[in-house]
Amino acid sequence: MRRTRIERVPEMYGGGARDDRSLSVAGEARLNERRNRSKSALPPTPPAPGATQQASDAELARRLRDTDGTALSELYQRFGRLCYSLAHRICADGRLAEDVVHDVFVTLWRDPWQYDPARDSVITWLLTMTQHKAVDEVRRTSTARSEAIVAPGAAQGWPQEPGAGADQSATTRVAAGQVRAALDRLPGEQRQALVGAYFGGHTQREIAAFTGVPLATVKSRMSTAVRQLQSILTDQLGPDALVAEARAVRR
Amino acid sequence: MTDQHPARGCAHSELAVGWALHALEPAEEILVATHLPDCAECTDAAAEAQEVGALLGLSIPAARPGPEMERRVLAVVGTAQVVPGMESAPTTVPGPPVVSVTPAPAVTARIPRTPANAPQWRAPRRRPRREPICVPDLVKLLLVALLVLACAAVMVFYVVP
Repeated sequence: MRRTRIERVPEMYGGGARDDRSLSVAGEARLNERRNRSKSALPPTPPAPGATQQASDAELARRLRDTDGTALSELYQRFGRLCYSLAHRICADGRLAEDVVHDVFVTLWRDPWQYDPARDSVITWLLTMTQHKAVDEVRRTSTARSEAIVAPGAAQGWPQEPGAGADQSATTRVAAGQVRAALDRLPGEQRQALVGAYFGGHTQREIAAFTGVPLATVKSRMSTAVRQLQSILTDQLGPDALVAEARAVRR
Repeated sequence: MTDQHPARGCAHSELAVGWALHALEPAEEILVATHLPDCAECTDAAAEAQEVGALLGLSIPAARPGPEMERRVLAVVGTAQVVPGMESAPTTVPGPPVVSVTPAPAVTARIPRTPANAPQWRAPRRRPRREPICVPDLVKLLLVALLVLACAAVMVFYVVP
């Protein structure tokens, strides 16, 4: 039962050859457009100190498909803790979070064709997969979900600034503050819908029931929230924020 | 703040955002999954939502996994991969729990695909096609014919009189 629930995600993410082809065409066009934009807007970013010779996403994908174990190791070194942090935030349980991250990397190793470098950056793929699997896990175990519904007017439920004991050395968080600030600029009900779904694992229908607004309104809020955030963050961080952030990430 | 962006054209684009954030009901997920390959606009909306989601995922404080995490993840290296062109096959087979006490060998070199570590999962192997005519087949055929004749003889012997 657990497997069938979780394995639904890989199918959505390129399990079928037909989906792959069609998606990759559109995705590639979009990516090319973005690349061109970024070339004109941003100078090439030098690799972060300590992250020497990071392989490109396409190179990593090729090595994974070539059963090169060092590629998986490199990906885990770079992004394993990021994925774990996200899974931990969603599941609120270290053991479940480890299971989720394990599942993500095992999925990538067993079927590296699921990741298409022409469509996504590897960090987007890993974090999306982590979020989906973590949400599946949370829905399966029904733990700690209601806490993630936030009050519309405040940033409750949003992860607070780490306290003294929190570990900040794991990654360089260039954009984290800006993402939080951008989220704070959203109207409360939009932030509530977005955070409730992404971190809380709630479906739109659940959020509608919880907040007492029509389902269509929740869908609209979530969609608008994404566009607003995307617009704000593109202005602030440039179109390739994720790529830059991925470069800055180190173990 | 209000929505300053023009509404999207495709009626499913809001669903695509929900799909990317894994916030739909199962029936809606199926609808979007079948719609996306035919709609560049919704594909873009989903990709955009995934990137925004990933940025949200990046912005949380770091947590530290247990010391066994890395070994557990990298233990999968050397196990089977899905053979390309077999997308209909189970993409992830539940692996056995990692219980080995000895630490996994560090992944330092590329692991070549050898018969020893070749993918364990393979497409169901078809039985080799038999030769059209061969001697054992003829013998079997004769035996069957004899059996049928014998049955017929018995039937004739007992039934006709």
